[in-house]
Amino acid sequence: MDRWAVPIRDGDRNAFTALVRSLYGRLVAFATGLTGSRADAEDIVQDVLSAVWKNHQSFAPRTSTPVYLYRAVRNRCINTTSRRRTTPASVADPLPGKGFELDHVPNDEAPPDHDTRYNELLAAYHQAIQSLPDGQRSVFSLCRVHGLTYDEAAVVLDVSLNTVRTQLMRAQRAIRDALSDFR
Amino acid sequence: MYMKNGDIDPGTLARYLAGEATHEEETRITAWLESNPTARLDLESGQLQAPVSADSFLESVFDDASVASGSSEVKLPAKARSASRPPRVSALRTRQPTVWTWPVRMAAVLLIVAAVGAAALWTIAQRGLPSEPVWAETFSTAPGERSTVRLPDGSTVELSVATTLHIGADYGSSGRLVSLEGEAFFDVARNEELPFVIRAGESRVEVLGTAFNVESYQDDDWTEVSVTEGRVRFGADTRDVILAPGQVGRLDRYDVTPITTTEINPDDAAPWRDDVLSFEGVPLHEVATELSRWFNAEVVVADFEIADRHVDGTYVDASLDAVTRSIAEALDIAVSRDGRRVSFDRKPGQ
Repeated sequence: MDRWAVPIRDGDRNAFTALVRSLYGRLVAFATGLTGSRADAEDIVQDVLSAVWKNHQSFAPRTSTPVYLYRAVRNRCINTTSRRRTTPASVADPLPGKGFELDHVPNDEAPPDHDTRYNELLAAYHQAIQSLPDGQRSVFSLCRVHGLTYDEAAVVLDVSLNTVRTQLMRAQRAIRDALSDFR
Repeated sequence: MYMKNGDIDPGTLARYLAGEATHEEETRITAWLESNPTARLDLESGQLQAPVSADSFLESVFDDASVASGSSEVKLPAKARSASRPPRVSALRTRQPTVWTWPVRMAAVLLIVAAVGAAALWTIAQRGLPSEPVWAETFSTAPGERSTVRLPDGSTVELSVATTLHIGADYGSSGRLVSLEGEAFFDVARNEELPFVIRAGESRVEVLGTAFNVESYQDDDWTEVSVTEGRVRFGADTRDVILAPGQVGRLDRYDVTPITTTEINPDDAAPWRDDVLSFEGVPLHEVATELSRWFNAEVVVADFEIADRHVDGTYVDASLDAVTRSIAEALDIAVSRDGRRVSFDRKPGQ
């Protein structure tokens, strides 16, 4: 039990709101990587979080709440993707046009080719990570992108610590090769 | 948004992802990822993404617009909460029905329709359950101990090790409600007027008259129902299934994944009744928990890295030493015993 679990079990809306605000974005990101669709990812994350709130009276995760949620999201994604696996090419919901860039990237702070290069890096990284076996992809994403510890990733993925270490090492090698042009 | 300070350049990010960043760069990138949920989404999707916001979701969960705007009026007084249980959130997700909740609900509806007679009773049983039932009697077994409970209507419940069974105060009059923590084999006398309902963890099991096994230990994260005879309805919240003889339903207590079902020989629903201890691909840490209950011992896995190794084996009327030695041999690990305490560990030098 961590600092989230007890107030949520007591039905504290503020605690649940704080939890959702702090984890929603990262869970959606994680699920997007697993399902290949941001829309599916948001549905899955909402289902998981809704279930937590709906059954809050019995909410008693054995792990920390964030690890529990990553795990529940991952399990849910596996059930979805086994039904329809999207290809990386069909990843949904990219940004519409240039509006976002103008809104969010101040030109005076970023060199002109900054965005292009960042976009290329995202695409190359995405292609590299999609070509990894499922296990390696999840381990890499959890440990490097989401900042989970090896122990936490082991719990989320239901594998041993040793497996996390070996998978991460293999994934790291593949990512390094794929991104050699950018460094 | 992703480059507010202009200090994360793609080259640094690439070095970080390739595992070649300096310590200083790594700290900078992890802080940046931490404060930018959209950056993670960009990475996971491979393209720039519109910012992600939880507001509309929170609004739909609470069905209360004031939450999303961060108003402080949403506080529920703690005293009001403890005086009565919080109201059920019935408006949950009504504004954003998701792709598969409807098929799931449709399926649940069809199941209910299929179970003609049971349907009405089930609904009544659901609504009619008081939030905290009154228990009239309690039967318990200690680790290593078993016993059989005979109920007034002719039903019997065989309790396995370390198990507690509560009997509802109105048992036999307005309903047949019991609660289980642990494992038990139920042989329920048929009575279509009074469905037999078991509360086990977060799940519930309902029958009219059949024989089946329920395993639902607090130490485990799941509840399993194995049917020998008749039909059993098994579920929690919005999920439920009807199990036939030879089917095993398993529900992960804290997960929202659907109930899984597997097939077994109906006679193997409760091997423990014949002193048979059986593991099929069970992680060692779960085996240790089970052995602790079975033998009234303290069986532990000392090394994290062997905790998930899978154990396969069937033991008939075996001693604690025989079982633990056999497992250690099969997994090529070490086992040591000190009184009631048994410890699995890696072999020295491995």
